[in-house]
Amino acid sequence: MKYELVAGLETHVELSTKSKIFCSCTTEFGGQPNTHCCPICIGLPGTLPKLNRSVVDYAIKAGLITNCTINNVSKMDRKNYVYPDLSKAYQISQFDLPICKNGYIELSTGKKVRINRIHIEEDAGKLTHRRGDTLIDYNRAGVPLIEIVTEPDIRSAEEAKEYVEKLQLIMRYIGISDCKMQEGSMRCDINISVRPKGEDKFGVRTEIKNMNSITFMAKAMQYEFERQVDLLESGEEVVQETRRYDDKTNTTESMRGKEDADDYRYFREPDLITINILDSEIEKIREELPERPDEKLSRYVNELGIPEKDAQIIVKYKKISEYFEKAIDGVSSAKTISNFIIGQAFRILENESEKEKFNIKVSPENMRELALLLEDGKIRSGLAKSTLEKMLDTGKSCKEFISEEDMGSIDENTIKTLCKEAVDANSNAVKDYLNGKEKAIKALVGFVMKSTKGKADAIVVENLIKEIIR
Amino acid sequence: MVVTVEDVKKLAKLSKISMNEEELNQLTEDMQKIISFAHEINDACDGEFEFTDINNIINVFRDDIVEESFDRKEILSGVNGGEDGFFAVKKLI
Ligand SMILES: [Zn+2]
Repeated sequence: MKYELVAGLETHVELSTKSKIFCSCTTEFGGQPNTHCCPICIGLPGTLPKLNRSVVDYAIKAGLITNCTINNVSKMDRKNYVYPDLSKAYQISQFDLPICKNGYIELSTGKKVRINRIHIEEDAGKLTHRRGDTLIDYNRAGVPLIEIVTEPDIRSAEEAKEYVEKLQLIMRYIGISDCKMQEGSMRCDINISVRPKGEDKFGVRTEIKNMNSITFMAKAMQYEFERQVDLLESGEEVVQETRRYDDKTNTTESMRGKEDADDYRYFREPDLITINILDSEIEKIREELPERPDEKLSRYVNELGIPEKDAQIIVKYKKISEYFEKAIDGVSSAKTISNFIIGQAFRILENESEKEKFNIKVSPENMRELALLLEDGKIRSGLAKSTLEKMLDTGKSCKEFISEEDMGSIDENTIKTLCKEAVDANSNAVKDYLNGKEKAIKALVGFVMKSTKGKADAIVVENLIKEIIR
Repeated sequence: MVVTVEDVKKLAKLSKISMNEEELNQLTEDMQKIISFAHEINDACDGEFEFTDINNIINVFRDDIVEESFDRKEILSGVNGGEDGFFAVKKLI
């Protein structure tokens, strides 16, 4: 029997506000344990939370960019559970009135992964286990999160991967999170079940918690799919439970079963008042939203004439696309700039994180200056490339490397004279060419290019030489 | 809403209380009375729930401004100074 995978994702995204969700402590990552804390975020009795306005604004942004409806009336609720990472024994979250609902993210196939809701909540502290003790650092407690919950629309690990990558990209574009999975500022829980192909009813699902890498997430899904299919094939049942993925063995193992199913006893947070979001506020935030990555991609390809593959690379990195848009201002062919970036600048960027930062020594203005020299025919592309490499090394402007002489155009008579010289000085190459060795002409062209420092047009030179030999 | 013996069994389990048959039946009856009473109150407030608070206050926010956190000594003063800068509890799971 053929089986199909059915999965839904819950993604936690840490918001990059400066201060925590309910107090004024910093959200900065790291720091000595328990130094970013106050009585509110360590949950001392008698303290009162006060909601950070930016958290609400960021959640609205996240909702609008993922095509959600924004609830005009929203509230906070207490989710009760007892674990040392939560000092109050409850997490302030949202239950039945989240800020955003009913959105979607479109995959490259045109398929829409529906988003059920996006709500705001506080992060918990960090635990480390040492001998018989559990050590607690509450620096992360109270850092704002949004949780983005999809419908069970995902049918393969590839779709899940694309969904998470898209989410990561758009959250970075709207500047509400850096979405670094390895640092924990983006984490996924996967709900996964299988069913015979063609069946409408969902199978029993398991949940894999806290995936902090896209690669591991895809592997965990594949493993869990096969495990569940094996169970059904051998006549056994899938048990509804929470499982943990072990990246060393590439397997999942049971954490706890439905028997101890969580009962969070949600109820309204009495210390926080209702959040009312006016349509006018929503519209204001909508107007301020940047261009979506997929819109940007199609503009680069259709309006600027950038090859799709190159455009995808530029759009993938927010900093690079910002740089690109500054540099192309006033340049007639944006492709010159994209070639500079992908051809030359990328050579010195060793890894993903360097590409993300895009900290190159050449300013967009200096790159534009070089592109204009090329476009005006004052220099040729070989010289432009080697100059750009020097600029990337030193951070100096192109004028430092290109002399007036380099930019002077050479008149046709000089070129003709040089071509004659080339023919006279390379009688062997001429013979070879006349004997049918087409490539021999390149040596002659090279001779001229060298004596003009690359300023002559190689095609014109080749034609002139051919005329002389004939 | 009808409270069943199964509901009470689940609550007992979550509360880690063991109960015999007689206690279960008695408690189911009691719980049913409590729930019915709550329903009566619900029916008494007709109309839609108004999502404004006392004195019609809405949207009390703070601006996203960082202020200095507390000294760690103070933070850990309730747990005898903690352990190497951490709160420490006996390992749970
Ligand atoms: Zn605090």
